Amino acid sequence: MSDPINANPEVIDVSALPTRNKGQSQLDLPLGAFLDTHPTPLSLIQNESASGSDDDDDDDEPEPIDSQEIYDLIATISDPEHPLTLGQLAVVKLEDIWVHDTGDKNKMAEIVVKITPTITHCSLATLIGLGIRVRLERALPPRFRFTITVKEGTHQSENQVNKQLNDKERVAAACENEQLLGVISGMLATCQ
Amino acid sequence: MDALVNQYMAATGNAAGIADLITTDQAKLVDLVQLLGEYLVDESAKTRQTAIQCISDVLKDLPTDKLTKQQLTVICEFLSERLADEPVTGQVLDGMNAVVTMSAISSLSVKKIVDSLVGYYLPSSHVQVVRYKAYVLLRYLTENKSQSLKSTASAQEGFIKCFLTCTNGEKDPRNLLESFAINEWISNNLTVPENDVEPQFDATFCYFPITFRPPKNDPYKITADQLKVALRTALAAGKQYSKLIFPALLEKLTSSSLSVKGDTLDTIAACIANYGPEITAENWKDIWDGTKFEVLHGSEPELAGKTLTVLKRLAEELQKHGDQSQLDEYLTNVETDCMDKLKDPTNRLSTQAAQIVASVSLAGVDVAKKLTTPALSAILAVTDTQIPTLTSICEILLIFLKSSLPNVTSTPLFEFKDRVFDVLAKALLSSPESESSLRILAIKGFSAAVNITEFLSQTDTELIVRYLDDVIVNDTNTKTLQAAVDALVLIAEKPGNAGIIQNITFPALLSELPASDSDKEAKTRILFLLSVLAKVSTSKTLIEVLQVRILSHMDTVTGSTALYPTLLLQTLLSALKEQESKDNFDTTSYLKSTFPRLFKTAFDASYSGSPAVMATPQVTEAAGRILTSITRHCTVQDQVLTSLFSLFFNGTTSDIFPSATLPEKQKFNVLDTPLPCMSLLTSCFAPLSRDLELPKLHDPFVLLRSVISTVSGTADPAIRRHYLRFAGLLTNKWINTAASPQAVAFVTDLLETATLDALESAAWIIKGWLLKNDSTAFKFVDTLVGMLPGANGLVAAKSFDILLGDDELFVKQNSVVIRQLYKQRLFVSVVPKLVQGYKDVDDKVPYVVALSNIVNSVPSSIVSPALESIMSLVVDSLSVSEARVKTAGIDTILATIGQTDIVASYLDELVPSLLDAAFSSPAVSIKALQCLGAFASTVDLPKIVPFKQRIINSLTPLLDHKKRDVRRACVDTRQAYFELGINK
Repeated sequence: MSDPINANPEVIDVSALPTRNKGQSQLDLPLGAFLDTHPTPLSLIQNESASGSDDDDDDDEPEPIDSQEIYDLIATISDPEHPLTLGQLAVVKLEDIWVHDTGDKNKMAEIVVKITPTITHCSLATLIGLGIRVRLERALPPRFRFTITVKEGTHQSENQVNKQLNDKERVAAACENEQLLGVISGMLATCQ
Repeated sequence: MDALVNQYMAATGNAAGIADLITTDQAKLVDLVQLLGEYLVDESAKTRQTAIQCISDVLKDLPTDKLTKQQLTVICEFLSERLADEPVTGQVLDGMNAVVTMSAISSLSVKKIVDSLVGYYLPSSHVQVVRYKAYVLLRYLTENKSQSLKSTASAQEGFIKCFLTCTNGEKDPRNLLESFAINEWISNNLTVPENDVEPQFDATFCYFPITFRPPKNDPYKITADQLKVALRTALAAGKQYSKLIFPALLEKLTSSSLSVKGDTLDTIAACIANYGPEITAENWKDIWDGTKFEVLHGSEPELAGKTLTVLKRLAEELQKHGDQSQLDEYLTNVETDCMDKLKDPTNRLSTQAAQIVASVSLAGVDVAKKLTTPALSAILAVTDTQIPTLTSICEILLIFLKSSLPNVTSTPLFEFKDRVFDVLAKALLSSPESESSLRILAIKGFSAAVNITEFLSQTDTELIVRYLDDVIVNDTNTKTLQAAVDALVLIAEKPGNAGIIQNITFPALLSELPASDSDKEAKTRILFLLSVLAKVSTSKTLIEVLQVRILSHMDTVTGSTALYPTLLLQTLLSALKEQESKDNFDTTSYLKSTFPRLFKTAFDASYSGSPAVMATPQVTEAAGRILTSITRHCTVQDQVLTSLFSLFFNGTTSDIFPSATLPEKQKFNVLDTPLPCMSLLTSCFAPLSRDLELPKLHDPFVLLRSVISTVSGTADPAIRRHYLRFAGLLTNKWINTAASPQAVAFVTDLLETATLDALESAAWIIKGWLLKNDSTAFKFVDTLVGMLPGANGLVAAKSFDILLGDDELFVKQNSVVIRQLYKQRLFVSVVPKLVQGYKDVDDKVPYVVALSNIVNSVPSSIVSPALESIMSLVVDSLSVSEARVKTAGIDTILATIGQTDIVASYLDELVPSLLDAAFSSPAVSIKALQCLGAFASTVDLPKIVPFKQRIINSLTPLLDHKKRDVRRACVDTRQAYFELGINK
């Protein structure tokens, strides 16, 4: 690859990235361990009655897809030119993700992601956007639609990039380009 | 003699015979030399070598007091001359090595040897092994003949020349270690003439820095570190080098290699310490100018640390100098360079300057007064209270607090204590929560202060504890909280602070506990506060107080769900567990404070059913664990045993269980009716040593029989479990199948009865024996296998879970007998029967369940080799509706995946089954997804690729699963398949 476009980006420490488990529960708590392990007691009679039933009742609560979940999906994508993730480079931010979903599995839903390129003339913005789109298409149910744009005022040719990112034809064409897919595949390799 | 010599020459035989003749005066050494005469001048080098070797070997075998001074002079002369003959050098050196050990050898002879080496020895023409002999010789002389070597100036000079000759051009690591050691000895013991200083220095310093990397098959296993240390010691020993070495070393600091720089700084530090104040006084300026930039402008903390040591050493040595003006000048230099930066905390070099000042101050109180005092005055005089300034100030204060002179209570820091304290307090108390890095710095500052001996008063510590409690109660930033908890634990661990924690932190945290655990937020809060309580309870005394507090708090949470009292008990347990790892953990004193209280609660709940929450399995379980832990570590187990039996089987109270514990007006015997409070008995009984004798009134078998007959009166699984675990423990520790045929007959009857109740009871009894690898137990296991095709097949299959499953009471710490190989033995004997039986029956479910129960509890190292034979059962287990069976099947595959390629040949069956399983309960679903995902990376590509699209498509609906974890697992598995076979 040629010289990196932004050789010296600002990097956020991994521990400072937004996660679902905030605050006290992230601490090293001795009691936390006890809660996680409730071994099934050895018993025949218990097994008879408990078979087939799921654990606790409150576990039945549905957990809707939220912006944190989307963030977790895309923040671990690698930047094409740094050994860092999009989350660490703040290309993807939790506050720039919106989920519009009624929770009804028969209704359409939409996700809006605004990306912040590390520098305003970043020519890789479209590649990053494409990577995010591929990741979301693979990771979310088909009823979801995605709008991926660069954040207002963060890129010189904002409109062009936005157009390219959300043009169905062009996205489809890009996804048939073997070499491009290879690069994206490399970017997605770090998703855990 | 003649014959022996000829024999030696012909076959390089042994010299012992010749040595014997000489020792017993039947021959003379001179004769030997004469006999060898013509060989010694033979044309063939080989012959000459053998001849000299003969003499050397004989010399080695002679007693060290045999030869006279005269004889030794002659032989030394002889050997020295021979040294001129290059091919025989190795053999001559052997001879010399033997001669120098002789007791009568004179200084003159030693000198002869030394001089001959200077004259004739040319190390570059010899191999490493020969050169090594020369070093051994010199090393021996330094260690044993130092008087001779030191005797005159010319002897000294001669030896130095000799060493320089020998070490010229040396490259071998083993030889270098010797060379460095000899060099060190020379510097420490001889006066090196002016002319020889530079050659000696060059002969050593030319190896600096060592960049040696040991070869893979180095027979001597010499490491780079060994060489570095040896060279450093040799250099540090050479005071005479001082004019040469510092410029040379400082020049090496321009290197770009971190390890070279580190080595250089270490060497400088070692030299300063060894060369002493005079030499330091001559060189400190250059060193200071040449090294300070590593701290001020360097980017490597490790190098900065090493430099700080150098700077501290300078001050230490200069302090010892008679003329203090040098020290003053040095300190003035430090001040000039650092004080400006310190006065303005926002200067980007302020913390580096602080590090220098703080490190140099470590040289002693007087130095500290000259440096730390003005530095602290300056920094504390800053009035700017903006966050960045305050942060820098705290950073600087932390540096000073961390580098306090150990065990000195009169450093300048002590004079500034109150002001330092105020700044830290201000940083912590008046900065907003979002400024976590500043608050953490303040907390770290307090921790560092706690670590300084006699720095803080009791009141200071109390205040800090209040601040920290306040952070813990009010802050929400994870890192700040963690820092506060760590600091609090540190304080609790310091001797004498238990009272403060007990009087301030305990009430502060307990009063913050929510009244009930109704919502999720309250639960998190309870969990957090109790965790902190558990962590700070770091001593016996604190746990004692914690017990009282916790147990009385139990009364206030009776209206809550089971979680709250459980967590309270777990808090106590967690603190106990932490102490368990320490030596001499004695819980005897806890017996009286805890047992009656826990028993009363449990009895009340057991009889009157209120408060109901106290009789829930979770609470009983947690209470049981505490009882087990305390009983395990108390010293009066025998009393506990007697008291337990009298209380539970007779209703008699005792010292340990006073009457107040008993429920009122109850006839009390757990063998009359099945009671939930049996958990108390089982928990206390479990850890008792098997060497104790059961009270006379209770024959183990009779007891076993009554327990089993009582348990048949209830179908409540929790209550049954308490009784049956008791039975299992009883058979394991106190009933032997060989000695108790009644017990064996009893179990046989139970198995014949074959009701659910009887089989469960039998399983627990058999478990006790099975752990001991008892043969009768294995016979019973066979009986159970035989029942699989029958009416009770499924129950028999499930009993394998009891037999092999892990139970926390059946562990070695509880004095339970557990033989290592019992699981393997059962696996090897039972599994083939299952595989065989499985083929012949229609209802295969019991076999699959039995196998899954076995596989579940047996290490995968035992399962893998048998995987091929059980694979079809495993595949079937995926279609059994019971979640546990499915999970066991998937676990079997996961545990053995990658170790064998058997899985690959079953993909046609496994993939559809797993895809089905992925749509069951969340737990099973996640397992199935993980298993499918694992195939992508472990199965050979051509075999798994055909399934790629099918797996990706079939899993799509799971992306909309209501549980987040399932969705996530599905995303990961699908991602693995999307990438399958793609070239990157």
